[in-house]
Amino acid sequence: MEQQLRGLLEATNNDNRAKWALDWRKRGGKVMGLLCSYVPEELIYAAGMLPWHVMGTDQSETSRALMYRTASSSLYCNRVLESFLNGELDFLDGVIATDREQDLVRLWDVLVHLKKTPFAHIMHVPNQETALGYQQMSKEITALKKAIEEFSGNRIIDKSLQQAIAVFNKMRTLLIKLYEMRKNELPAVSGAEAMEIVAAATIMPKDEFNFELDRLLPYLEKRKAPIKYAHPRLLLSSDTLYNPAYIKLVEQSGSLVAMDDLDPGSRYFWKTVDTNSTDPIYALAKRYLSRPGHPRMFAWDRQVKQVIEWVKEYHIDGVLEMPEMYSLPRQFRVPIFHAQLTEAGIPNISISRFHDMADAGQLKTRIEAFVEMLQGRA
Amino acid sequence: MNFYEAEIIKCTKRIKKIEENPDPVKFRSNKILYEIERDLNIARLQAWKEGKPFIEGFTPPLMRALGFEPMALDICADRSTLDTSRFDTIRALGLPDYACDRTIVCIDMCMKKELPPPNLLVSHNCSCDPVKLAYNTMGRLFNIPIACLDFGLEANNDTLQYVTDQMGEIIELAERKVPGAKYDESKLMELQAIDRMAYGYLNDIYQLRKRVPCPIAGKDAFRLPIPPSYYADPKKALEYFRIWRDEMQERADKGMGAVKEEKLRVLWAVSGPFYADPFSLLERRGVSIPWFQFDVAMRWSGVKYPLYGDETEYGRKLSPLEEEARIMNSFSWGGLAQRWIDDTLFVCRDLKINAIINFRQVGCTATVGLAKILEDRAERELGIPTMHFDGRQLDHSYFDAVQVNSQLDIFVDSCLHRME
Repeated sequence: MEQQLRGLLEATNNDNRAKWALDWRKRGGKVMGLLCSYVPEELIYAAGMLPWHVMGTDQSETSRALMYRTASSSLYCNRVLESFLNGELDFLDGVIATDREQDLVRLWDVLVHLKKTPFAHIMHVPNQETALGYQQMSKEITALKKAIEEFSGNRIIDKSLQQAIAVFNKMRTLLIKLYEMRKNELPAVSGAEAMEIVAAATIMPKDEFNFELDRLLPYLEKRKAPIKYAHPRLLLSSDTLYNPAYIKLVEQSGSLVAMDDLDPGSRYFWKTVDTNSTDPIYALAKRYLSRPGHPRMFAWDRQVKQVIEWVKEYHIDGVLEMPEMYSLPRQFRVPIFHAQLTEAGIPNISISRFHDMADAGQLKTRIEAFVEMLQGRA
Repeated sequence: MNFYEAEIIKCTKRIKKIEENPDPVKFRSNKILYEIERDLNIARLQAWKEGKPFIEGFTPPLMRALGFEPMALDICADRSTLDTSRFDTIRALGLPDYACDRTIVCIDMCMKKELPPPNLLVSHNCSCDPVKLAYNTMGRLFNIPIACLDFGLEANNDTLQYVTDQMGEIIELAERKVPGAKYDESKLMELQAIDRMAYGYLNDIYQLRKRVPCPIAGKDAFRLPIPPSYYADPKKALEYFRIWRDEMQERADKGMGAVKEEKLRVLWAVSGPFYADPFSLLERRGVSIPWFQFDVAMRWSGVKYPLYGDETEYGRKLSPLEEEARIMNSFSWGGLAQRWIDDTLFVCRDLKINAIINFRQVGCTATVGLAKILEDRAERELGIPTMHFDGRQLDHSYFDAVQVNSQLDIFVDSCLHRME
């Protein structure tokens, strides 16, 4: 079973990442690149296409992208643009973005300007979880549905959407089961492995992913993660952190990442879609807006509250926030996040990072200092 | 000394200077402008002392109609004293010092009590992320009520309704949470009527910018015209706009321009270094700057559509609250690339612009990522070149005058060469 597990853990390696998308295309299917975890993937699946999250190039060099963007703008967006310009993503039939960050909107603008994919759609994600916000999100999802139907030539009927919701809910339930195992003193997976498994879910056909994880769960129940340290237990909070080397670095610095607040992590699958709703579009709107929020959402207090709940549930000793450089939503939230966690008596630190581990030495020193501080408290 | 006191002194000095030694090259209306600015700051100071509520994040008429004193944090930051220690405060708080200057400097100003902390903050994304995020941060740092005003990517009837509904909810929140806040629609309509006249004058001024030579100087074009409702005495502010228009008309009729022999007409876009004067160098080279293109510039000047009373854009008459929603819903920076670039190219065509100078403000999430698209489309559709000029509005340590002047010189040479 360890071999099967490796299949998931290595799914997003540079060599494997496009594998499922290329297979899908070989079978005559279309692949839709997603630039944000707020895009309701269920619609794409219901239209018979593969939703595939774009992680951006692993190369440090982003010189092509910097013709259109500056080095001091979202590094994720720079990497994604580079991967579009260097041909890594030529297999995509379309791209769907949101206004999660304005930088992301501008990336989408460039992709449209350069006509990089036959299909391109952007949706607004309301910044607030209110009745008006849900209504507006429903309208945005309806507009996306219409665009996908036109492009795919397939009408998305309620039944197929409900089936898609069931498949995605199953994925969420399986991942929640996996995350339950992270509460153990000796967890089934390390922090880096957990992230790799969730990242696999973002690019694999969901049925296949569900099948794999479902059959792995009994094995994982007994498995002890290959970790060097079981304490202190950290919660790692960041955005678009697709490079597991950062989590490995944290776990090699004397700690265990026992829970996360990441896009390719808890935020991707937390909360299922209400299947009892008579309006599946509204149910999707509610799920996507009310899932644990990205710092772009207005309700920062609720986001910190969620982290505090996780700290309790997962027996966390400290919170490590690693904002990606030039990602403004999280960077602006730093003092609020710090103040509210400190007020709740939770040790925490915020250390900015890049993507390519160029900053590894400095990061390691700062993480080790934080870990030592936590060990001193124990 | 707080910001308002400093501004009163600054304006008083400028008024005195104009009275004692009027510069015939400059607009006479500038004196009224300094008077209304001085009076605004006197009124703000008084309001602060009396504990009247301050607000940030709505349009000026709506803020006044709710009984608040409008703060205009971004404009206050633009006029703040140059002090790099402001960025030290930002760093010490853990905030990004590479965000757009005006959105972070105002946090420092409130923390140092140069400005009062607002009593209500409306965190909105009608222009850009940094404003939304800075207000989110400030509201929580000062523990004051904050409201979210959310904008979509398109300006249409649906999003207009969405914004209007949210405004209604925020008005209720203000009345519930802030003592002294009470929405007065007749006051709103009264202020809209005054602003509408001012926008009419701005449209007249816009038409005059088409003249060759252009009758407006770069420094004057670069100024943000603020609607009368923002001021303590809106009627006097309206008078300023009228006199400014008349002076422009007079200059245009006499064939007077900012440059004697106009060789090139440049559109200046986004923002600029507030501590430097790149315009004089351009004017010495025979370059006029008829237009400063920023977020709301076209709307305020009624280009494409007039503000207030227009029934063409949305195909119907709008309610007073919808009129305010409409202004914010169509900010040029808040939407997709098409809105900002179409608007900019429209003005270029309309004012017979030969080249664009695009200021790439560090941390401006709205425009930095559009620079190359603007350049490509301006070249392809209008055959005009674009120069990108990287810089910061307030952080002068970023600025190298020699380098900028040399860049501008080279650009002017190449534009003139193209026109030969």
